[in-house]
Amino acid sequence: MIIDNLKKLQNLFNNGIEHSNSEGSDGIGQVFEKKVDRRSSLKALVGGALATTALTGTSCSDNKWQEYFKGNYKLMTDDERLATIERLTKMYSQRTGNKINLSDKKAIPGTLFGYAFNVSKCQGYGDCISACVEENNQDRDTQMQYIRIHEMDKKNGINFEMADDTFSHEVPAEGHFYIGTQCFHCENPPCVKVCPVEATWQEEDGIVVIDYDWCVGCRYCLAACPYDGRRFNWKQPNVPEEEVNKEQHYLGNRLRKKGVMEKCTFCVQRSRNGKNPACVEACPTGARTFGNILDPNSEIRYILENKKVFRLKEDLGTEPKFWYYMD
Amino acid sequence: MEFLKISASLFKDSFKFITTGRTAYHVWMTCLTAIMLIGTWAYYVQIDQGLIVTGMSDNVGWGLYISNFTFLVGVAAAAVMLVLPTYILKDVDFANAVLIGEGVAVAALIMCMAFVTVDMGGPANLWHMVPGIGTLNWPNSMLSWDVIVLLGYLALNITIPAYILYSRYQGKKANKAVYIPGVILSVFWAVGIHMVTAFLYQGLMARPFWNNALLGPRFLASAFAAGPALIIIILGLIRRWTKYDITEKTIGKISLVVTVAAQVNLIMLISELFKEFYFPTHHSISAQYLFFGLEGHNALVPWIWTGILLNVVATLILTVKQWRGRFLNIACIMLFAGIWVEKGFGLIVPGFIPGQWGKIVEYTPSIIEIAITIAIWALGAFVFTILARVGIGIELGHIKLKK
Amino acid sequence: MKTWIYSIVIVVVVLVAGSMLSSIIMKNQHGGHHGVFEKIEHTAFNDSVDVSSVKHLASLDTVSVDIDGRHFAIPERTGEITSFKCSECHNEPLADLKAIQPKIGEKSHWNIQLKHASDEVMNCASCHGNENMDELHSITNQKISFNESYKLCAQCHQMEYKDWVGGAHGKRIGGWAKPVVKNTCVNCHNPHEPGFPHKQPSRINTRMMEQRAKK
Repeated sequence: MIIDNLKKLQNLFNNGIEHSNSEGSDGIGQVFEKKVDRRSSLKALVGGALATTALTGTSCSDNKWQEYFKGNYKLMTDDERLATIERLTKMYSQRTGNKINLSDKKAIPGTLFGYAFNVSKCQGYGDCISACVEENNQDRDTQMQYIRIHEMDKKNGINFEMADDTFSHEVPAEGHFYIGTQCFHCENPPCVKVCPVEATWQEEDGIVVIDYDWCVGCRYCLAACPYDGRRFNWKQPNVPEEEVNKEQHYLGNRLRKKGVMEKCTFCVQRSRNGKNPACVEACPTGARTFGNILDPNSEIRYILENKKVFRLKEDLGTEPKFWYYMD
Repeated sequence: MEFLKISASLFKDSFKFITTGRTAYHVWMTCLTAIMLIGTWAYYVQIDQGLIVTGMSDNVGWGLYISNFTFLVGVAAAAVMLVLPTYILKDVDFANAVLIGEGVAVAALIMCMAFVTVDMGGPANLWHMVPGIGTLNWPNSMLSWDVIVLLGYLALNITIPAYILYSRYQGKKANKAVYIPGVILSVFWAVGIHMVTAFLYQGLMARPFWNNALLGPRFLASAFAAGPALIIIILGLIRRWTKYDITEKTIGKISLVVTVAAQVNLIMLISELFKEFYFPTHHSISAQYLFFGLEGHNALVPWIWTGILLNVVATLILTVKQWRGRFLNIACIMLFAGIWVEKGFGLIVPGFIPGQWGKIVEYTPSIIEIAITIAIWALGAFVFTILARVGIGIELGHIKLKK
Repeated sequence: MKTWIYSIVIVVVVLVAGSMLSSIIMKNQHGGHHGVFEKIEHTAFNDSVDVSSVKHLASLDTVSVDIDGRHFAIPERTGEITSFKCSECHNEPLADLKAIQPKIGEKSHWNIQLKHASDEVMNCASCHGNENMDELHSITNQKISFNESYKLCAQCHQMEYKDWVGGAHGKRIGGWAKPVVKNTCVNCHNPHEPGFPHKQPSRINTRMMEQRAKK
């Protein structure tokens, strides 16, 4: 708390006048609203800092303790869920002065999400990777990406060992094709089976999710996933404040911390509102399709019933809900 | 009340006993403490910055910590190799050694728990595993089984010797009816802890290097080779440094156990090599990486071949009776080191290489990881020294209840 | 004697128990694999799923389409064309314009390049050669509104068209929920230059490149 205020002080001296974009609910905004010179701003800042610490200092650490001792999200009552959402929203605005829209929307009854990827259409642009990183607030320092695009040589066919997922040349490259992978949200997920604390589970709409605050960071799920779907926060994730996506879901793209696992959530903050995941939305060639596989009239069902679909590592029995097909 | 008074007296006397000794002893304990302090600082760095200070990555999710954990569970399980003949087969020759064996088990288990804790991304969240206040994913997660069996085994290996020493401290004989059932249980439990640890890896169909039926039995064989080998070395040191009576016969019998286990381990290694390389499939690619390297990545090749060579030579020495007599100690050291490589990072790291899509990212432990690892071994040595000194002290009558 | 009797009884009991156990196990096997498709078959679909794409469509003007029993909407086109109606400038059909000026298109619409099949089979008149420049025309000389330009594409690209109607080709607008609104052909493919461009990848992961590098 105090360190934050000292940092603000330093910023003010370095950058001159600063306008906070908080709603002013905790007093900081009011301090910064008027244009001031350095001397009086110092007075105002110190006064504001003291006031803020007095007002919010205790509740700040209270929130932290309550957050630490809360239980597994799966077992929380609706009141407990609301309480943790409130705490997280408050802590975020205390830390940054900005508001987030943190949802805990449950699965829509009658939905089971599936995904289809058209191998003929992918050009290797990687717009999906970019959109995913921005939508889901992934650590920029370690360049965490949920999605991998594998460039394959037509001579070798679908051969992942010989594929290259770190290409940096113009795409699509001559004689090559592209296949994307991410978490496949298996119906029989091995990651869920091995988690010692049930921090990861499959929701009713088929999305495999993680309770970031419950994960102990043992990385057993990382070992168990056959599809390179899971990512670990080896350090405290860093997302520049102006790039943080403020539309968040508790089980989706809310900000994580070091030592916990994360992964693609089929953009649960979007899909439970009827929107497509960011990758589907971003793909300019329409290579990605998403929808409710229970709906017999959906695009995804049409693909499953009419195109020659296949899944990866079918023999492992994981029943992934991510199908590939070609034109 | 009586129990509390006697226990308090036991702790006081033991504390006095272990804080005195010759210079060599003090130097030993001081060095260990220094190493542990360095490790503590290294662990602080890891807690502060996160596991990024290690050499692990999303590709190789487990490294030096879990490798050592895997190896040490085996060492802990091997104490049963002395417990079984002593209490059940009533072989008097093992009687003196069994206390040392149980001390090794406790120290090894403490090391195991330390390695798991330092490997965790969120150690402050470990209470999430406690049923009731947390959620333990039992019976699905093999890790949940592992936590239960390791804690149970630790409890058994602390309470049974504690009871026996508690009686001896008072100059009484320990009541067989009290400890024999626990002893019988611990024999089965020892096999259990190591099979369960093996099942952690054996059950992962995403990692074909581990997903084979032989992993569990192989763990048992290498455990019963490495564990008693360590015990032989320690017993030799105890013979040298204390008046505790360990007969040549005892060591001879333990060395037979080590020999047979080492031979079975080699047979299993041959079986594994055959399965991987007779008709290599896509599933053999991790073994290819480990033994021969892949696409220029060959960091583990010198390690594994040295480890196997150590194993083979040690087994050979142990097999030939005259050599077993003459070169026992060096054979045990070689065997211990060889199995540490072959079952430690020679097993864990190649399971992750290549990754699920065939990508190769190698693993090199960082200085922080190495410092913490050495510190935990120092912790084990420290704990064992204390336990051994107290146990031997009570057995030899140096520590006894004053009436 | 007694030992023999006991031994035989034990063996018989074990064999009987074994066969009973096996028959219980065999009777309880209900088919092999439980996959996603079985789950779909056994899960009731609730058509009144309470999520809609309407709020994600903003103020998009759409046109209804009904093909082979599939109902959906596509973005309205004629209102989006700048300088529509063409007939406000062009009084004569394309054929006549071309007669006057052989290299028509070079002066106005100078920025349109035709890179769509070879000019042996396609040129401007293939789609725009109508008497009325406000409409397109099919191979059979039927008038096709700009709003229904997909019908022209379907003349040659039947496979893509069928896939598009079903949902295996193309892209949804506004999300996965109903009502279904999707891009029509020209929303993704410039009809004059339908190919997708070559470009640099959006994001390059330098850290992954370092990790994978050979030592």
